[in-house]
Formats: sequence, structure tokens, C-alpha cells
Amino acid sequence: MHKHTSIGKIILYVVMTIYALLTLYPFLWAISASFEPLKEIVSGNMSLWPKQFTFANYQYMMGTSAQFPRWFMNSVFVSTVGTVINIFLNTMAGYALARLSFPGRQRIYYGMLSLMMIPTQVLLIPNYLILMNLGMLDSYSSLILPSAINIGNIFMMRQFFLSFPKDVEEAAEIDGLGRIQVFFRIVFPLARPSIATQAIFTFMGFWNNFMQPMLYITTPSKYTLTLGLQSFTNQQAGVRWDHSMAASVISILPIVILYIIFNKYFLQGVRMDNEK
Amino acid sequence: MKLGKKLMAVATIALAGLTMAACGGGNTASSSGSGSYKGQNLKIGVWIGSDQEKQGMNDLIKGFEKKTGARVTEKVYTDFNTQIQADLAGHKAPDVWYMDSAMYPFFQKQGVLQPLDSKTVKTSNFYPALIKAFSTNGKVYGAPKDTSTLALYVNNDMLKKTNTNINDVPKTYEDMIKWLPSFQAKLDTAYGKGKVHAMAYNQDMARNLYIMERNGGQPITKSGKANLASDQVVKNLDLYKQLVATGAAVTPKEIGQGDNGTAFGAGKVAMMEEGNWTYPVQKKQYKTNFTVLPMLSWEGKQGGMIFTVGWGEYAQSKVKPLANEWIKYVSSVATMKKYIETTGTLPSRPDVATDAKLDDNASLKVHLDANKYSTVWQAGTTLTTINTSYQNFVGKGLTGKTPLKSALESADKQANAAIDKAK
Amino acid sequence: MMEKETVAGGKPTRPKKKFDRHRADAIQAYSFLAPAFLVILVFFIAAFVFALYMSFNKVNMYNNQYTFRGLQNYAEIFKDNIALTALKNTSLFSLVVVPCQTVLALIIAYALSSKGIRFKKLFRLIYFLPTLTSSAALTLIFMFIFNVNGPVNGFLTGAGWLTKPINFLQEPQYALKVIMVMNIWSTVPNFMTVYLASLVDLPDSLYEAAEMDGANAWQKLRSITIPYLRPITTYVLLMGIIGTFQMFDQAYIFSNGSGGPDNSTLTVALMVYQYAFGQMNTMGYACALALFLAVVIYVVARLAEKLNGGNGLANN
Repeated sequence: MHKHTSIGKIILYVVMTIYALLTLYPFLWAISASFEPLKEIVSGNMSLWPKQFTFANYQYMMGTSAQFPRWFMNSVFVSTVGTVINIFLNTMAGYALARLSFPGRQRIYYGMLSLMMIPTQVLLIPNYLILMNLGMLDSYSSLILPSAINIGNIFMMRQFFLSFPKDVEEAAEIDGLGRIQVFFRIVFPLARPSIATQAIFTFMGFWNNFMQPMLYITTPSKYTLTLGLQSFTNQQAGVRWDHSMAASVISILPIVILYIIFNKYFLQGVRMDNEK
Repeated sequence: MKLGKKLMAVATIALAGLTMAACGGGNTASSSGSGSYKGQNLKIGVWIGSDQEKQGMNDLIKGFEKKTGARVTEKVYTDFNTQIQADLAGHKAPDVWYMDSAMYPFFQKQGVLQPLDSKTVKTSNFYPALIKAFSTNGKVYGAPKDTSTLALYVNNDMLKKTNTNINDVPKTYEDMIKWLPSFQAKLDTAYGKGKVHAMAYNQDMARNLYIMERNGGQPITKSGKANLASDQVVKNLDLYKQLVATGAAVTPKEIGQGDNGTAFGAGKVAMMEEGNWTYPVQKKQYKTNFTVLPMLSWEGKQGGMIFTVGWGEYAQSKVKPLANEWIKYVSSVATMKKYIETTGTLPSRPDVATDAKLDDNASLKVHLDANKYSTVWQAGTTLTTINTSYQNFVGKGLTGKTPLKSALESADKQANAAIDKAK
Repeated sequence: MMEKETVAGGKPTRPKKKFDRHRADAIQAYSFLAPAFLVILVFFIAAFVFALYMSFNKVNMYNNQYTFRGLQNYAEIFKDNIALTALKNTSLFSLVVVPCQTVLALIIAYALSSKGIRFKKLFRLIYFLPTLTSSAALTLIFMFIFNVNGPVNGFLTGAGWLTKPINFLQEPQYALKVIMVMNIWSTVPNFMTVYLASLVDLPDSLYEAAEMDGANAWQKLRSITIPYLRPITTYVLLMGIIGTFQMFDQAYIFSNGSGGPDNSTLTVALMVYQYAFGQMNTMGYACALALFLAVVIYVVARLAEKLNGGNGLANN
């Protein structure tokens, strides 16, 4: 039986390593390209290790605007605030839909699901007009409020709560905690793995969002990082692989760092972490 | 479904309020006398093609703010079609904005453009073809900001390596088609088979229109329908089919390059027909050693394309006098001279070209002279729809997978279906 | 299984306090839903009603002209061969991508949550990378590695599997496939993470019992993991279907907005975009097309959820 397990384990390692390589492959090329001059990238015999190593692409992207740090902070602000709001609203809504019985639950649930199926392109202009009438164009609220919830994440939280052990809440109620307390002090901490999942998705959604900032924000000092980077990679005289790859790496890097820092808290299932 | 109905009711009310507000928002009559513009704000909508253009735009803004005391807010478009539509729908469009010659007829037809008086745009100052590109029924709706033309770029190093004299490069398409196979053979010997292609060509109406229109060819009917499969157009486009048949002409995408300039700069093609925007890029970015020749002639006539962008003024602008002032300012000799020197573009006024001594640069002179024989990239209000369809289908006709005519028939069908829906 | 009943029927656990409990449940539920609902009302429902209104009109967004034309926009869809092609491409795309991404995500998540695997954190970090990147950047990266002179062709010719590089980006028979690979590659980590988050709640005792019975990894996956994850699989399938049927940016960047070559990358969402933001006044048709697509997605989602063995989305 012991032998049996190790063969299985070897297969697992092989599968995981192959998939890891597949995942890394495009990134390594992108990172490598971001350190090469354009001529070498397009030459067709570029190698993974740059023959002519250069920081010029990064210098170019950083140097394009004195507002670079500003855009970065805007992105951090919008993404953080947006994520915190999302976590509370989505988790509360998902909990209600999964755990509480109330009149109209099915209808609300199906109504939400149906809204998810409408392609977003046709909602762009209506939302633009709505924001305009609310006087919110060209403000951070225009980026945060329409995305203050995410129906997909409400749905995800609901599915999580469906398989979430129910006895915990009942025990807490017997201990005399009120409903709101039960939710925020017992359920919320226990749902941490799923909330962390939701948080990272939401944060990335805000961070990488391009369409909304592009339509709603006009003042350069209010640009988010993606919008700012995009406004400089948009070149008439051909795709500038060198610049756009550097821009991609710059925009990914902060999230990767954040992810590494918060990795501890992320997916911190009790069983998973206790095991070394 | 009771709840559904209630939701609808609430949303309808919300919507009603919304539309009312939207309608009430616009249309405040433009007032404010001339004189000082201090305290006024001018919103301009542009896109940025290169670092040099960014610098040029910054200079324009600073200069104008200093001159008038007004403030200029710049909106940089990255997805022009989506953004301008949202802006116009919300009555929030900039006071003046960039307008491509191909898009101009459409904007004009929508009634969003303000006709410009003769004080703002003095037509005799500009190249006549460019003014014509922004005029409808005798009224001018745009001030050409600059112009770009096509020319034939040839890689000198490749000529040298294949022992080819620059004078051996044919001047007509007829000769070029005969000459290409031998040149390709030399390139194959010098660089290895398939490494370097003799010439790049494009499957894009923006590059092919002047050929399509030869000898009375009418790719688009007067009523704006796609007519690509008509006999004369098919006959004209056969030129590209012959070019492809030499085995020496490729599209940049075929060889994995984004566009002509990249393919040429990367040393994948020896010749290309390209606009003057590539000139500084080839010089500085790729350090290509090249010569610029006039466009090839075909059936005894030279031809090429002119691309021009103009400043349009929003019909609902609240600061029209200031907007006029801006157009006057950017069109003046001194400002335009400085702008083209910064950006490396060609001026829309012949006197600026003379003033800036552009003729002294042999390469730029070729581009400048092309203004005389080239066709402006413009053809009615349905052009971009038809071009999308053309790009989608023409490839299989040119490479001989299907007869050219039937490929173009598919393109016509698809474009016209879309055009009919807009009726 | 007991909790399922409670959820579905709201069966009281303590009959005595039945009325109170229901009322308290309802109050808590409504107050928990209220903030989310407000956002939905303003930015989803109002926008949706607007889109619905436009779908019955000929709309010119440039000068705000609306001409009522009843159901004509919808009738046009069924006469439109191109819409049919787009729907065919989109369905094919979904049919290939959704099963692949679901199965891959499940397998990788299962592997990652298996006991005694080392370097878990490193693997997890690597797997997660694609999710961190915007799809615009990803599309550029993929177009780069799949171009004729790119690394993929270099690898395939170098290994002797190809004699001549393939023009993946320009050949109609390959273009959509490249987008499929790209989409699977970039969505798997997303769903894998969702699976993982649920797997950490799976009681070890279940696996231990199975091990006692001599079950191997495959048997454990089939008889314990997959049934346990069914609610999450419903979520993954539904999100996958919605995501693939609404696929837009990758096709847009890939074909420069044309849907070519030869309509091979034309998706319904791309068509919606073309009609909404092209050089035409066809916003009304675009809205009709989008709402038609929404109905198609709804039907497909219900079918998929039936196939997943659920007894209705509500209870699953």
C-alpha cells in the first residue's frame, strides 16, 4: 500500500510540474522581452535569456509621465476600497441567499442570475448616462460604486455557504449571540478561505479594469495604472512589443507582491496549514 | 413574476428620470463675447500616436494657454469609437476633437459638427485636397492638422548584399511583378530561403482604395452600398493577386509581424509602401539603412493614399469662440511649423512646408510630392464598415483559395447586411 | 443532506418558535440584501431596462434619436446569417473551453490539496499567475508566442514535429483554436482557486475512511471529492458558460475587431460591439442581439446544470 501511494504521488508531481511549466512559459517570454530592445524581439531568433540586456523599456514606461506614482496610488485606493465594500456586500447577500429563508428568495436569486447573462457591452452607455446624471463621471466613485457588488461573487459565496457546516451557528445562537453577532463574529471568520478567494478576485478585477476607467475618467491625475499605461502603449507606428511587455510586467508586479505577502492569509484552511 | 413586474416598474421610473435629465442637460446657447478668455476652459479630444506627438501636443496646449489665458483640458482617446459615442450621447464631447478623414462624413451627417467660418479656417492656406476632405456642400467642418502620404521604402543593406542597384528597382507595378521573382531568388541565396521577403503588401482598403478606384472602379456605390465585387474593382484588385503570385510579396501578419514598419525594421522584408510616420521610427528605433522612393505607377499613372486628421468643433460646444481661437492658433504658420518639427509629420499648409524647408530632406520631399498624385482616405459614411468586411474576406481571394470575385461577393454581402440594418 | 432540506424548504428546526424564526430570518435577509440590491437596481436593472428599450428602437446615440420599430430588431437576428456564424463560433468555443477548464481546474485543485505534497505554496503561486494579468496583456503575450517566428513555432519545428511554421494567427482553421487555448490557460487558475477554497473544508475523515477501504487517488477523487464539490462545480460551469459565451476582448484584440480571417473569430459579443460602436446607427440591433445572447446563455446554463446532476440551481 505504501508503494502504491508513492507511485500516485509521483504522477501527481509530474502533472503539477508540467502544468506549472505551461503556466510559466508565456510569462518567462514576456519578462524576457521586457528587457530586450525591440529589434531583437521581432527578429524571430530571440532567446529566453536576452542577448542584449536593457532597462530602456522600463525607463521609458516609468519616464513617460511624472504621474506614474500617482496612478499607482489611484489604483491602490480604488482597488482596496472597492474590495472591502465588495467583501461585505457580497458575503452578506450570499449568506442571505444560502442560509436564510424568506419570501421571494428564489425570485431574487434567479433575477440576479439572469442579470449576469447580459453582455456588458450594451450596458456601457446606459451606465455612462446613469453616472453622468448622478454627477459621478470623472470621479473615483464612478469606478467603485457600479462595481460595489459582483453578482458572480454573490453566487460564489452562496455556493460556499451551501456546503458550510450549519452546527457552528446553532451552537453560537444557543450561547446567546444575536444574529448579527453570529454572522460577523462566527460565520465571517470561518468563511475566511472563500472570502480571501473573493477578495483576491475582486482586487484583481479592480486593478486590471480598463473599460470603465477609459470611459469614465478624463483627468490624467485620476487615471488608474492600467489606463495610464495603456495611454502610452497605444502607438500608431506599430505594436511596440518592448514597451507593452514592460507595461504588462509593471502592472502585474504589484499584485504578485501583494499575493506573496497575503499568501499566508489566503486559503488558510486549518487542515492545509497544519500539515507540513 | 410579481416581483419581476415591481422591479420593472421601479426601473422604468428610474429610467424615465434619467432620460429627462439627459435631455435637459444639453443645449445651452453659446454666449460669451470675445476678448479675454481668462477663466474659460477648453476641452480637447485627441489620440497620441508617438512620444513626439505627445510633446507636440503639450507645446500646443502651453502656447495656447499663455496666449489666451484660458485653460485647456486634454482627453486622450484610446478607443476612439466607443469613447466618442458615449461622450456624444451624454452631451459631454470635447469642444474640439481629432477627426480622421475616413470618419468625417459620418460625423458631419450626424450633425454634431459646427461649420467653421472663413475667419477660423482660411481655405486657401491649405492643400486643396485636404480642405475638400473636410467640406460638405460648400461648408468647411474641419481644419486639417497634418497629412501623411505613402512612399516606397527600400532597404539599402539588402540591395547591397544582393548586388542590386537602387536604379534597378522598378518604377511601375507592371515591371515590379516581372522583376520580383528574380530579386526574391537573390534574397533567398543571400539570407537563406524564406528568411527575407522581397515586398510587403496590405489587405486593407486604407492601402488599396486608390487601386480599386482606377479606371472608374466604384468599390462603394453612391448610396453607400458595398460594391467590391463589381467588374472593374475585381479587375483592379487582380494587381495584388499577381503580386502575391510572384511568391515574393507577403502581408506583415503572414510573417508574424504586426505591420509593415515592424517587418521592415526587423529585416523581414526588403521593400514596403508605408506612410511618413515610419520614417523617424526606422531611423531611430530600428536604425534601418533605407531609401525612400515615390510610389509605383500602374497603367501609366502614379497613385497612393493620403491620410489626414482634422480638428472638428462640437456643434454643442459652450465655448465656440474659444474653440475657434484654438483652431486658428494650431493652424497658424508659426505654430504648425513648430508642431511638425517636433512630431515629424507633414504640414497641411504648403507655405509651412516651404518655411520649414522640408524639400531639403529628399525622403520627406518624396512624401510631400505624393500629395499631388494620391487619393484621400475617405469614401462616404459606410467606409469603415465595408473595410472591416473587406479585411475579413479578401485574403482568401488574393491567395487563390477561392476566386477573387466570390471572396469579394461574400464581403459585399456581409457589409451590405450591416448597412441595411442602419437604415 | 439535512441542511439542504432546511435551505430548500425552510423547514423549522425548532417548531415552537416557527413564526418568530421566519420573521427574524426574513428581516435579517432583507437587510443583508438591501445594499447589494440598491447597487443592482441602479447599475444593472436601470441599465438593463434602458438596453431593453433601445432594442425596440432604431437608435442613433450620436444625436440621441430614437425611432420605435417594435420587434423588427429581433426579427432581423433570425434573418442574419452572420449572426448564425457568430453563434456557431461562440457555441463551439464554449463547448470546447468549458469542459476543459472545469476538468483541469478540478484535477489541479485536487492535486494541490492532496496530503503530503511539498512546495504547495510555490505551485499555488505559479498556477495563480495568469489570473493576475489583464486579458489585454495576456492576449498580446499569446499573439507574440504564437506568431510565425515565435517561440511555439520555434519549439515545434526545432523538435521536428513541424517542417514549416504554422501561421496560427492568420489561418482561419487555427485562429479560434489559439484563442481557445489562451482562454483555458487563463481561466483554469481562477476556478482552481475556487475549488481549493472549498476543498479545505472537506473533512479529512472522509478520505481516511476511503483509504481504509483501500481506495486509490482516482477512486477517492471520483467517489468523494467530486460529489462533495457539486455545488461549486455548478458555480464553475455557470461562470464558465457565461464567460465563454460573452468572450469579447481576446477575439477583439486578436482580429483587430474584424472577427476575421473569414469570420473565424467572430463571436456574438464581438458582433454586439461592432454594431454598437461601429460607424453605424445600430445600437438598437446591438441591444437586441445582446439580449438574444442572454437568453441563449440562460438556456445553455440550465441545460448544463441539469447535466451536472443538480436538481435545480436553487438547491444545488
